[in-house]
Amino acid sequence: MTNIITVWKTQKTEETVTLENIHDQAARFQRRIYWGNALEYAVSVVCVGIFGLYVWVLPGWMTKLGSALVIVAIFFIMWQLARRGKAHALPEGSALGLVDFHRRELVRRRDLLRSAWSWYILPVMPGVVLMLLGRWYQFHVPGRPVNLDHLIIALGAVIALLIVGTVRLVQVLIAGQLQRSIDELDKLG
Amino acid sequence: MDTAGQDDRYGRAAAEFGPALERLARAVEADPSERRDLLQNIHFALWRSMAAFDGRCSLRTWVYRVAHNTAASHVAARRRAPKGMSIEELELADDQPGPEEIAGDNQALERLMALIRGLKAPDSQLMLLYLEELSAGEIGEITNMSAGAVATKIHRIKTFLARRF
Repeated sequence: MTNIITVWKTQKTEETVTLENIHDQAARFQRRIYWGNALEYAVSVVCVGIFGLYVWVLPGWMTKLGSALVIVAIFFIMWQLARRGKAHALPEGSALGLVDFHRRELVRRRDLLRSAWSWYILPVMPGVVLMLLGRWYQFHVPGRPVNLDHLIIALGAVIALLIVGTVRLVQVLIAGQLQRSIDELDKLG
Repeated sequence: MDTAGQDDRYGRAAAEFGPALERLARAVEADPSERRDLLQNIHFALWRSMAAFDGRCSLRTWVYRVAHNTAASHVAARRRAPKGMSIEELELADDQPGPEEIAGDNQALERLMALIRGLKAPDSQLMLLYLEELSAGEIGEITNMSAGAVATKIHRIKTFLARRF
């Protein structure tokens, strides 16, 4: 029989990580955080810009108010992202016990999936619904028959609902799997 | 703690546990380029953690916790990561050849690495800590698992390894 522990411990190791590598990585880490935050804000600014333009150029109070509500929702989501990111930031080096660390990560992912509905999708809905109603009652594409325009709006709304419904279903199923893994871990404590 | 103190503590930890950290990276990541990145990330996490090391647990416990948690995050973030099995599920599903089929140490090592990659946490971590010859008490402290759960798992790991190698 092979003594597998001896084989394991006597395997040749060759990689070297110097303190200089570590200091370089620390600098890269800081830059990545800076650019990650900058990108997040840039995307939000672009979205706010697009919906701000809708408020300005699109006809009908419903579409304008709907666009304004989407802007408010974007700010709310940004605030939630920042708040939740800080709340779940792990301590330096994450020197928690392995099971605690693993459980905490599973709980974090489960809660994110369970709550994403209320803070990521729901806030945008009033604005989007109002924009669709505005399109239905107050604003039609010039030259297109109203019936055809209504059909296209209805089709768009159904597709959007199907996408949101599917995403939600997948979230619920994955959250259930994560809960089962958490229950298994709890038996080890 | 100032950076010099952090560097000093990290240096001592890396000198003592460097080979074990490399073995961990090898077991977790098969791709050589990804493995180098993982090892670098483990060392970086260890260096960062040294700013918070307060001596409430031993340096060994601290180093293994930080290293394994960093490796676990790497596995979780990997795209299309296969769903691992527990040691109990692996025993039931075991259809691999026995020790008579192993030609040499390298083949044994490759087979062991593949086996560890097929396990899910915390069983993969327990197997690695066992292979590093840590005592059941140390493994319990590092994992925060009860003594009973550690003893049961270690027993299964020993039996499984004896049958396969």
